[in-house]
Amino acid sequence: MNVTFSAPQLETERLIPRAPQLDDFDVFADFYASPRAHFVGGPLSRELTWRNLALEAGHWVLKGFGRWALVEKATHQTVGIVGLWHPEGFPENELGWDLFECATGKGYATEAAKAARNHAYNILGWTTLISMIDPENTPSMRVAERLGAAYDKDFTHERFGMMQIWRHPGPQDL
Amino acid sequence: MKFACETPPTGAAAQFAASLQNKLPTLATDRLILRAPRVTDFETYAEIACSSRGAYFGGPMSREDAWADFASMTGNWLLHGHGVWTIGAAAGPAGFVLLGFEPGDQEPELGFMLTQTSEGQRIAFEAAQAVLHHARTALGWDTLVSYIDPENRRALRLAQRLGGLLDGRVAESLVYRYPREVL
Repeated sequence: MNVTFSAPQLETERLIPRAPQLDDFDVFADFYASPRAHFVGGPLSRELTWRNLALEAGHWVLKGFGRWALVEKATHQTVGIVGLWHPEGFPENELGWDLFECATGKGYATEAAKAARNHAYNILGWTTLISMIDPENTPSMRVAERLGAAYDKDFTHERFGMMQIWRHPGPQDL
Repeated sequence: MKFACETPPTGAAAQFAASLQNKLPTLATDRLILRAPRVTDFETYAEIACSSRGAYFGGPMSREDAWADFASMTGNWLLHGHGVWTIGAAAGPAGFVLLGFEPGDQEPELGFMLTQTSEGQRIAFEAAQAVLHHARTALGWDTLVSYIDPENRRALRLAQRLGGLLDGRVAESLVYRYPREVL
């Protein structure tokens, strides 16, 4: 038997956002084992990466929103995961972006995050959204700035320590 | 302490969650409904996984780990087409039954996690039998296993009652294999 899920469709110019799936695992494992994952709770073993990938998928079923795996239209490669979720220990729903090594510097995070934010405001009816950023993760802050978000306050995460809350403009300010 | 993420979704998100949950198979037995997990079932999972009852499957877990575990067992449905069911009994959720397949497993496994108060009523047996049948008829499997801590006597007895046969070890666990005849 087959259980077929589709995440809500997002329109972006260069990416196809879709629900995370099994064949994303290897590219996820490479990313979360790499030093680039330092700012997002890594580096992680394959076992913990599996749990994270499954968690991202399960989040859709439990909460009705989640993060989309991003497939690059040009190459059909999975290049990252961006979207709406509520990881344990975060104070509210987050717009989060993890872009894999091969796909940085192209504005993909901004492109996908904009589409995900539109989904939050236009379809889910949310009125505010944050992004949690490691204080040393300046590339991520640049993405937040490009999205029009601004530093709001510090937040101490039980496991990750000090993080910055960046708040996005609300639907009326976009 | 509860995490903010345990708050059930509202509005359009709640509707979309329900539409995904409705895609998962529901199995009915004489006394039980095995159904898709919901955020509100997490309280029951935390009760099991964060207590000494969780010791046989990687616990007792922190509430944070239990949340990650619960969400990932749910996500298994998207990754593999099988996953965790909440065991709905007359008195509310009695626990969970799982067709899982994760790193460390050599093949798909049947797992069962019951609340303390639901023990001794053959609830796990009834739920597990329905899931074995689902594995055969809906998934087309010929066999599957349970990985059981050698000290988990209740689970060992249950696997035997279900027709499982000892089939070696993987790491610390005993492997009980369910042959085609009992599926």
